[in-house]
Amino acid sequence: MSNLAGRLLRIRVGVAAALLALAAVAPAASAYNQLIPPGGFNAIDECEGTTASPCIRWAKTASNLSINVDVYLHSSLTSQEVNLKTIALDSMGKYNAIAARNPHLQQTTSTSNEEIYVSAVSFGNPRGYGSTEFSFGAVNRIVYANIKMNTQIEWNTSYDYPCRAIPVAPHEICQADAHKVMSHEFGHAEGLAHEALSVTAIMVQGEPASEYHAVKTDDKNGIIHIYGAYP
Amino acid sequence: MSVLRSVTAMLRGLAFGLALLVILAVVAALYVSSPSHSPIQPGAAATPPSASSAPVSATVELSGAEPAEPPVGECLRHVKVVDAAPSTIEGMTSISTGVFIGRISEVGPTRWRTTGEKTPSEQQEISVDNVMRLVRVAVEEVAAGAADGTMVFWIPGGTIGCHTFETAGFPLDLKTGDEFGFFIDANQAPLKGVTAARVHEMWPVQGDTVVTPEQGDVSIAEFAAEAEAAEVLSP
Repeated sequence: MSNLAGRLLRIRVGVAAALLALAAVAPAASAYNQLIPPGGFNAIDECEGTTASPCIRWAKTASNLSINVDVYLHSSLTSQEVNLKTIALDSMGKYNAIAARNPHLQQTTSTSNEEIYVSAVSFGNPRGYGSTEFSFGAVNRIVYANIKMNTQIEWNTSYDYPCRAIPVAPHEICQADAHKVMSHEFGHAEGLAHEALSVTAIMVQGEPASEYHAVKTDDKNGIIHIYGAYP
Repeated sequence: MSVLRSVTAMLRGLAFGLALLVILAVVAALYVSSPSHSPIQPGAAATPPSASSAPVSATVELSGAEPAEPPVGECLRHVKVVDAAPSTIEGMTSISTGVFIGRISEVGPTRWRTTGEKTPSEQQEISVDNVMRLVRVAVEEVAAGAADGTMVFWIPGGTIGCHTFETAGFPLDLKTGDEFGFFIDANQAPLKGVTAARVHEMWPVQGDTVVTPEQGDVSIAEFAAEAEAAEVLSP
């Protein structure tokens, strides 16, 4: 155990040092990424900056905030370590608060008209935290999104624990900050892709959780770029 | 006379009881011998087909029921982004029952991975998670766990009608002869009655190197050595 703790400490110190060094040489850039139609070996690529086109986004955009995208929050979200349903509603609020013409995320209690479906399911292994699946047509406009949170993760609201091994004891269970992951998934659902480690954004993958509860300026710029600023 | 009547009544009761016991014993014997009613121990979890109970057979039929298209109006692409821990050789090995280098020898048609392979009726079920292909793979070099000869695995995604279902790391256009480093889990069958291990990830092999998502290009020897040093799951 002491060996493991020491190793983890050394890994954390090493990662922190590497990040500090990276931050020193690479100033944060506003390089929000959008999703583009998949191609090649990897299903999702990224189109960086503002020039790549076309990117995937919702067809629904609003000149005012009256156009909604209905979000269904499945009951499985309330049976986890923390109430993921509450956290999903909180995440939706973050994107609704952006001064852009992105669709207003609105909760629905019916599965007959939902456009985003959010649930907690087993991924079959503890390495995946969350996922977002899009359905889109020929013009790359999203018509449906499906967000899933892995029930094999022990969810909390303040920290991540390295998820490197199959859980065999309580201290080795993969743990993750639900606020961070949920907001990250809703970022995907809005049309944002992963962001570089050098950038401060909710769309950075695998960063320390506590600093990434909020939707950051880079994320907001991405949403505004996709949908336009709210007049 | 009353004594005689009492004895007779007792004998009748005894005969009735014995007959009842015989009937119960016969019913119990039939129940236990039935394959669909094997007794379940308290606390025991139901287990899916696994490599240990049902070997991943090279003779598995790759095709199934003819899949019907999703009941939605337009042709759609369904693409999944997964946020996960970094895919290192050690980390992937820890969630796998087998790690090996193999070459695809046959790719089956896309099938619904739903009960009875029925087309989902709910929108949220029209997902890459419910679509799969079976592939036959010739094992070339075992790095960790159990793998041998030619085996059949299932991978997510595929094409049904004008709908495509994709997730990162699983090419839509798999070809016979393609070579990969496979991480498989024999504890996760795709469907009831279909014996095939799940492929967690498959990394392309180019020449003598494996193209890894996190560790760059590594030689097959290095790939095998790192996987061998890690601990695999029990099938």
